[in-house]
Amino acid sequence: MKYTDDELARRLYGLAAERMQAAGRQMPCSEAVFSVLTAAAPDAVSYRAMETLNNPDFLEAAYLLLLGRPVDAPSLDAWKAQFSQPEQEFRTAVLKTIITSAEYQKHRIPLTGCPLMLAEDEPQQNLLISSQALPERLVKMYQHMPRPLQKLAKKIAGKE
Amino acid sequence: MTHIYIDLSRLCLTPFTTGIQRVAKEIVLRMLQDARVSVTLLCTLPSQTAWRVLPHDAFIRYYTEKTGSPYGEGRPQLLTPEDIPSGAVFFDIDSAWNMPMHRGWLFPILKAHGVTVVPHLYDLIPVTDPQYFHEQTMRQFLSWVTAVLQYADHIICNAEATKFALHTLCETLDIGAPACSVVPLGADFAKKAAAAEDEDTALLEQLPQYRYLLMVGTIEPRKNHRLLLDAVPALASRGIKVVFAGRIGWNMDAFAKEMAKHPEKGRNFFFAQGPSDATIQALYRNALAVAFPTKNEGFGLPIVEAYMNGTPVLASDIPVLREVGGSLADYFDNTSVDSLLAAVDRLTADEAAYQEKRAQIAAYRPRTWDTAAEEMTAALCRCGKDEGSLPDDLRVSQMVVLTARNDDLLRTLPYLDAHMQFIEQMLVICPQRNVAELQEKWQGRIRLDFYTDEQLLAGESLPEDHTTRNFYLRCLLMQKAPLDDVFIMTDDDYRPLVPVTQEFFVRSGRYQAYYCYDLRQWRGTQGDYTSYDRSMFRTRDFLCANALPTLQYSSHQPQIIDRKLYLDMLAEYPDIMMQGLDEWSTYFNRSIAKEPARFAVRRYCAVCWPGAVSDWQLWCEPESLVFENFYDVLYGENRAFAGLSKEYDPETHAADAAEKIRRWSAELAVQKAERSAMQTYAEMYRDRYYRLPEFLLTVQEGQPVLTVPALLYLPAGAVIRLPLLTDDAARAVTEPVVYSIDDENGRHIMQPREVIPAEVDRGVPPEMILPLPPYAFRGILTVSCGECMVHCALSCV
Repeated sequence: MKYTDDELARRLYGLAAERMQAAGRQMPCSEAVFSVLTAAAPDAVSYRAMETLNNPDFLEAAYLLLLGRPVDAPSLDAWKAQFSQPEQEFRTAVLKTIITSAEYQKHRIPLTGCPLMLAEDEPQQNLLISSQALPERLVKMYQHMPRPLQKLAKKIAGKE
Repeated sequence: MTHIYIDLSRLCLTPFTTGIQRVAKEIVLRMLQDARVSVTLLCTLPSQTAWRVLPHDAFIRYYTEKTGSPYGEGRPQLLTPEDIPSGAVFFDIDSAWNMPMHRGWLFPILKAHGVTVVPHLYDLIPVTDPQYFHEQTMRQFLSWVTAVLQYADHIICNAEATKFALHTLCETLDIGAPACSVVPLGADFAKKAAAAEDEDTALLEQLPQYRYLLMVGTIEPRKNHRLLLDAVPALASRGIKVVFAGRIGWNMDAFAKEMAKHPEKGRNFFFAQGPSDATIQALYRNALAVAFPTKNEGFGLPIVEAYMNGTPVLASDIPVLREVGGSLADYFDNTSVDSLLAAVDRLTADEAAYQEKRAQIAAYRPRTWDTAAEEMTAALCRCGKDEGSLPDDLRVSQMVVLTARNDDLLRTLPYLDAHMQFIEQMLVICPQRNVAELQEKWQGRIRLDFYTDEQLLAGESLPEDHTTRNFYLRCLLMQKAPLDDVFIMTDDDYRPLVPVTQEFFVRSGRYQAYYCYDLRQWRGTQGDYTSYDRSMFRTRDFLCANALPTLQYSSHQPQIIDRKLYLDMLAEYPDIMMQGLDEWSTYFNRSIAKEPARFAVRRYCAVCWPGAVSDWQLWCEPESLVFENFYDVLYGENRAFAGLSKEYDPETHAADAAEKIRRWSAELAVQKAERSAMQTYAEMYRDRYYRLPEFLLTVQEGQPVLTVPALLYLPAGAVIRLPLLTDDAARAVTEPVVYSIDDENGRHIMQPREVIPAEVDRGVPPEMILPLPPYAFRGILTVSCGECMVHCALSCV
């Protein structure tokens, strides 16, 4: 038989799960999370790939992919209380926590395809509606930006 | 000579050395000295999608003399997976499952480029006995095995038992087992110098010679220390003590506590935590035997280490230990204390026999790393050959063209006649009505022969769609036309700019296959898909469904075809003839997957593909510029080839061709600079926001919602294509996404354009195409869909 990568990954997972069960142990992650991990690209984390996961699986996949480690026990306990939240709220909270953490600064693997507003200082979409107001808005924005973007924003704002 | 590429990221980047890294080091150091192979050593870059090349001298110095760094000094040489040439071997001897460059991502790229993938398999225990492994290790290993089973061309196993386990796994999964070689590991590790004063005399004084069983190694569940601990009372009654030497490993906290509180501790049970080398050697020297009750093992190096220290071995009765331990070891059932005790009793029953065994073990000589490396290198040489499998005397003299346009062919023929001297005959597939004119007007060196559409179709009608017709005709001609076994397939408007020899098409025993794109990335002309675009999408779906590589070989230049391989493809997939696939991409991807030794995969060599560099975003740059894909329109005013001759003129051709190459190179350079500017902007943006500057379309509560980056920084004069990332719901949006650009004074820079997500092929994202003016300005990009309208600050510089 010829299987797709994902089909083969799931069959292997199933086999390992049987053995684990026979040994009285649980698999460390669900099949859905394993499937997402196996298909992950090395240089970016796709939000879309995680979209189908439920809240506990999303939490686990986000930690593994963005931080390269499983959820630690104290964090898991804290997140458990929020598992019943609506998916969008829960995901926003998880991703916000991760990407603003000092630990994430070391990994810095970018998140792609994520429609959620994550960083506190994410520019407001309506901030720039008025083209007349653009330079002033940018002057405000660039104060918080790293140097290369400050330069760019200054240019746009006509301050350079 | 075989070219071997080895990723040693774990060896280089981890501060400690495991058994696998020891193996990798021993083998690689020897392989570097082997004249049969050329070895390139790699270490992953932080981007995780490319490597730096490790200089041999620095690597050797670091791992033999412990000086310097394995990376060497100076500017590193970088390498991407696409840079590894066809015919090379990618050999994974390090613990690749721990590497962030996932093999599920890497191997398909290597395979599509004709690289032979050869992983080394140490064991399959994380699959067969996952309960003994850390969660992270098990997860990563399962992912790695998935890639290995799916993509490996050949697997090198360290033991027959490992090969057997692999075959059993493949049977269980109902998949074909990959080809395997068994190359046992070496074991003549250099003995570490150990000073006697480092010995733990307090411990050693409590252990009478030959009256204790020794277990060496990390205490972890799989090693089954439990059995020996359970046997302590019974062994004590026989006057035998038990010693564990090692460190506490994963998931053994409870066991560690039990050891600490053991009633026989310090009398008949001892635990030497992290002992010195001197203590280990003394423990080996005086032990009755080394006990190895392990549940499962990849190779069983501890047995060899025991032999090298002259110590008898009592080992689990499992196939791999039988294979490594041979007749010198005694075996027992690793689930039974009684079985262990019986083995001890056998060993102690006859003192003379025991001494005889020690004498035999003293004469034991382990298999050497030199032998292991030699055999492993030989196995790799058999897997991948720099020289391909085609015969040296292969001669190509036929060119085949499908055409209905006499004028185009007659204008192209002089170029072929002058610059492709090895072509003697052109077989023209055309309507009967075209034949007479071609015969009359062509008087050149190349002989024209004809096989008409009427002969080919034998009364059948042609499909309406251009690409369906094209593919169908090419399939028919493979079956019916008087073709050579190997020939050059071309179109009527592919013109050589410079002299081309047969070597361009077949070299070093390999057909040269020229690709221009990855079909999975092909976006086509959104909103107005051409027949060509739809054919590319169908071909992508066909190749993906059949787990074949997806490079796009319709490179708009002549390519070499092996008729038998084409017919093999039609025999394997008889239904495809009327499916309107791309004749080049189906043939090359399928043939390269089946017969990698016959192909070398290369970037294309065509000028004017695309017709204008702004037509679509280049996915890869041409390797060189050899053929022109003739577009009449490009010779018009202000176009790329304005002022140059459209017809072959032997007097001016050389100068014209040089000028075309110069102008096209300049166009490519501009696009490259634009891509580089976009990349810099994306990196700057990512540094700030931890995400890429993306445009997203989602649906929330039934309404389209757009998310845009904070700001855009685009190069003036470029045609920028911004993908609109969508979720499944957004792909069904039938309302147009409308986008426009105004400058800061409110003037329209770009009138509203639109793309309808539901009308875009589902395999690719909808695109916003921004033709930017050739001057700098600041402004706003406005994007709307339904009632959602968003704005993005734009700086065009």
